[in-house]
Amino acid sequence: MALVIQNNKVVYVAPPKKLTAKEKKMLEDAPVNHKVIKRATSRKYNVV
Amino acid sequence: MTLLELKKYTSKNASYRLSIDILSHVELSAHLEQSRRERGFIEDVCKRVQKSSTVLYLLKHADDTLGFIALSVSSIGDFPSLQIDYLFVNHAFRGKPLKILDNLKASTYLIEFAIELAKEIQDMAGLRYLVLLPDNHKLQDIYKNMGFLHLPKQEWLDFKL
Repeated sequence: MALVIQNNKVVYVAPPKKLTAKEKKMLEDAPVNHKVIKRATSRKYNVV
Repeated sequence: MTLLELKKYTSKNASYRLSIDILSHVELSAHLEQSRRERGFIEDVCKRVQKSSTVLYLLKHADDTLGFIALSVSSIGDFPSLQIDYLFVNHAFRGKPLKILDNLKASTYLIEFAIELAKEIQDMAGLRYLVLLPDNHKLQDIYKNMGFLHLPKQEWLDFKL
């Protein structure tokens, strides 16, 4: 996930802070998966 | 009374024993090297919980610990995001759709929980993506099937909210 192993140690990796204009556009233009969002948000989670 | 719960751990309630407690209730990978990696990740992420760098949600059903997800705020480029720091599923429940989870696998259930939290945060403070760095290419395909976008030359996957 945000953790990787480097030289036998766990290292935290952050997402890229600099994106190219093309990458930004791809992110902006990405479709929203309404089906997954609806399924995820219509469920009751028992957080304690 | 529901037996399914997501127990939330923050710096306020996570003791130094959190990783010991989790490791004593889960089965790690059968492969020695992967098992070592998982142990290292769990120990590290529990330390991050104690430092307020991440919040951990432990998925339990009765006495079974199914897995957990650890989340923190982040950004990809200029876009505010919720980041999955680590997702772990107990080896005993890996890859199995479970009736108690609406016939979803534990990993899918935990990601959908992250989507629900991300949408809540989006309503309150603005958020654009849920982001994660898959541990391997097999996982990458699973996340892509859920709607995560993979930018060329980037290892991170992004789910638009």
